[in-house]
Amino acid sequence: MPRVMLIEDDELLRDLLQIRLEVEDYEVVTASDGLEGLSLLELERCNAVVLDLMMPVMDGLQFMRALADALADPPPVVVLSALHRPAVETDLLAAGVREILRKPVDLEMFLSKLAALTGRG
Amino acid sequence: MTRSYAVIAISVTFVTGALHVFGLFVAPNGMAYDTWLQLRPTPVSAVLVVEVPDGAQDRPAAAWGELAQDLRGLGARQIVFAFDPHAADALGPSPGLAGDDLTVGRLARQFGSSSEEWEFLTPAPPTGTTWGAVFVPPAEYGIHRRQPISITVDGEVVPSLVGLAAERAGATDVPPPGTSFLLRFPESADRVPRIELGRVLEGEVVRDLFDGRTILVGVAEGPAAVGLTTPISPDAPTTRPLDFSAIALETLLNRRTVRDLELVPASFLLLATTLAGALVYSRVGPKNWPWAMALVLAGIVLLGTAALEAGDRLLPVTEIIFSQVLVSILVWQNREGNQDRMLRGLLRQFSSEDSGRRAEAALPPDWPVLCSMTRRLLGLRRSIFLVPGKRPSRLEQAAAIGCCLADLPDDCLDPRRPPYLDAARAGEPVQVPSTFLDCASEDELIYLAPMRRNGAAAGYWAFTVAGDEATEVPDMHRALQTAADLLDDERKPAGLRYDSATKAVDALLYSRLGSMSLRARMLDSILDEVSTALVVFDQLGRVLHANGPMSPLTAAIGVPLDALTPSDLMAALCRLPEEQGSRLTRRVLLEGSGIELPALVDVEGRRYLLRFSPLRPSPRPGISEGLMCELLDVTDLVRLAQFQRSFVQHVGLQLRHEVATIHMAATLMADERLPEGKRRRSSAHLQAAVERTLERLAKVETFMEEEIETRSAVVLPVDPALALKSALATVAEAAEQKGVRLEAQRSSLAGLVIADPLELRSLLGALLRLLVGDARRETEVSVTFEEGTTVVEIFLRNNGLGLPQARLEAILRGEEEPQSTELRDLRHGVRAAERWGGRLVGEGRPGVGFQFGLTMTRFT
Repeated sequence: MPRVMLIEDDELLRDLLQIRLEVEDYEVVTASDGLEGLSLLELERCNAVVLDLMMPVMDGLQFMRALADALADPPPVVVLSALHRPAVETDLLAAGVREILRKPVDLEMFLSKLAALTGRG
Repeated sequence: MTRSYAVIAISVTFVTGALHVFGLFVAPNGMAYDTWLQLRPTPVSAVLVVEVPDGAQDRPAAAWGELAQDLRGLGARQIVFAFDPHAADALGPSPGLAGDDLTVGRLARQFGSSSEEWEFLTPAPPTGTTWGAVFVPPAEYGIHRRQPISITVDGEVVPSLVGLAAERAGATDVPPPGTSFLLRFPESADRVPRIELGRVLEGEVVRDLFDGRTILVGVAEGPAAVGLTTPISPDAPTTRPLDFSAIALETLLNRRTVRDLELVPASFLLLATTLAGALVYSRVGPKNWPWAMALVLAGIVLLGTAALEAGDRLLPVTEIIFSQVLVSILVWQNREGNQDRMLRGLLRQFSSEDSGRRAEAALPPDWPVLCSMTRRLLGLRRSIFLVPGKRPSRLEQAAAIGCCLADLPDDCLDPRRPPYLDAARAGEPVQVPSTFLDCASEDELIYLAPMRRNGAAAGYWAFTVAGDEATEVPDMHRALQTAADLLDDERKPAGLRYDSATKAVDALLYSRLGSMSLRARMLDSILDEVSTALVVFDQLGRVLHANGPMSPLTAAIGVPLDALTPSDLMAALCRLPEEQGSRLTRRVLLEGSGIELPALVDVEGRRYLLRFSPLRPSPRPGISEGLMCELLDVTDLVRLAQFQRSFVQHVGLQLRHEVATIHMAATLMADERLPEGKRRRSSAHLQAAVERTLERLAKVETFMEEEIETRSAVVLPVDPALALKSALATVAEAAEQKGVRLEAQRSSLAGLVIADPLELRSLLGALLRLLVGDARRETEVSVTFEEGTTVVEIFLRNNGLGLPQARLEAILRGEEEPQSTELRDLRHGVRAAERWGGRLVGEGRPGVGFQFGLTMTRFT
């Protein structure tokens, strides 16, 4: 079962996303901010990361920059965010993000891309 | 040169000519000639005088004939006898006394006052003898300087001896009969070569003395030899007539006769110089009059000298000088009169344009102006100004409103008695009994106050107030005295003293200029105090006036004020092409419609809205008198709008997030694979998300209801990065000058904080100014953000001199007065931050610097 790291500061959405991913047969590890997520990734191997951008303590872009320094072979990252800012998206892609999806997300598309990144699709 | 000046010049020429005819200038012209002679004496070289002792002229004619032969033998060119050597009864020339080289004289004299009345004193010489008249030439005011060529005796023109002798000697410059010429005198009469008859008769002579000369034989002394006053003997009549004749003969023989300039050329010369003078004086001001006159006189002297030297002509120099002086006086009088008339017209025009706009600043007295101000400014019903009258015991009314002099009792008009003495002593208003003003009603209180004008006691002011206004009376008096001083000041510019020599029109001019200057200064200072930068252009787009706040703006955009046009402003601030700027300018001027343009460029960190308005329509149809541009500072509004925009964007993001949450919960609940427990959880999350969304919307409504346009302090969710960016801009220049680097790290994804956006900016600005000012050169001021779940912290630190911690805390708490503007601003900012939930903590370490931490509530 693929393991997905879910980094989302909103508790409600984080829980709902976790339920959704578990229904789709993913093992889910959650973190409420980028720093916590980074710490967990250093300890546990994950097949993919679902990442929110606007978070306290360490936001999504800071996380991506720190991820490259922290892990030699980081897992693929899917960004899920309400934000739509071309300059930020350019920085995210340059930092290694594989997919950027805007909230509210098309669920089928999200699951399809996640499946592809985790080797299921 | 105007026609009036030409008329003046021609008139002066005629006047001068008339005075010349009356002989007014004869003496001074002669004196001028005499002066020249003294500087340029002419030696006598062609004539030799043989002096005959008195009585010896009665020698027989034969003896004179032998003398003539002897003289011929000595080489004499010509022999002239100043008397008739023949016997009275001689029938013809005696031997030796005939010939073309010999001329004799016949005595004549003038009788009567006319120069035409002459008579002979001796019989005519014998027929066949060539003779000419010998006479004492007429004097010019006692000075003999001219020799007539001929005289008229019994209607017959008789040549003078010297004229005739010169002609017979071949002189070609002999003036025509009826004229006279001026002699060229030597240094003195002693310079005339002479020899006594006795020596000639004895042969004790040197041939060279006689060779080639004209010999003039005459009686040197005796009754016939009464001396003449000449230019070479001005103090005493010591020039002998014989010597005079010799000098005259010399002048003729050497072709050096000096004559007066003929009438026609002299008239033209006089007219031309007078016209030229009128032209010069019409352009030269009174200040340069001495120089102009000196130049003119020098020119006249040079001209006259040149005419004598080169042309043997005596010019009418005195006439010319007289006409120059007269025409200069008349031209300047005419100019002064014209200027006065023009000035009066301008002042009348100014007065008519200015009337109704402000009180007339008339020359004294202006008590009526002051009186009307008591009603307009102070709202008083009754005012009367009393000034000293003709009698020292009685004051007179200078101006009044609501009452008059008749309302005062007769025994209350003596300024040497109370209540005037009381008021003068007090120097301020004193209340007087109700009987002082008959017309005052029962509820009115009457006051009397001294008035000073131009620094001296000038009179008294009596007025009435209602009972409840009594406390304002001293202020009223002060206000009115100030107004009186203002009126006095504006009627005479500082430093000007009026005295009896000040012309009325000049006094009026000074008064108008003073009031105009004062008014212009007042308007300038008022406009400078206005916070809005404004500039007024005329119809041609030239700057008429710009107030104080405008100057730094034009400097910032790089266009000097004197070259600024409306198109320049539009191009520099709104980035409009010049053609479009010109079209818009025309629209304002020609159509009379205003326009507003937002500036796209910040000037010194401020953002402006340009408002162009037409001025009032001009008398010329179809165009305004100009246009006015106001630069409205909308920086704070723009910033607030930016803050509001970022807030709205953030709200949008949050709503999307909530929708995503709701959507996720809804899809889960519709998924049949979901276990019941998780379905219930999803349902609860859905409910919570909906409630949360409603809360957010309610919060948004609350913030959107803030009237940021009118409130001085508003608390909003704001992007602290915007505030920091704006604050960094204010210290960038100072930091660059010190070599201090400004390092600010903030994620572009960070959220909002709850704060007053402008006060947050001010606080950050104050912190940065303190840190930059305190920092050592070539160091760094760093700004970092730390975002927690509920708070956002901004840390600012430097490497500088710092302050002891205890002192810093005392300053921030308000227990110690800060010495610097930065610390003062910081303390103010701290207090403001506390109002919206912000908290500032500072640490100061001497020799290390400062570190501040600003904590703000995170907007969720």
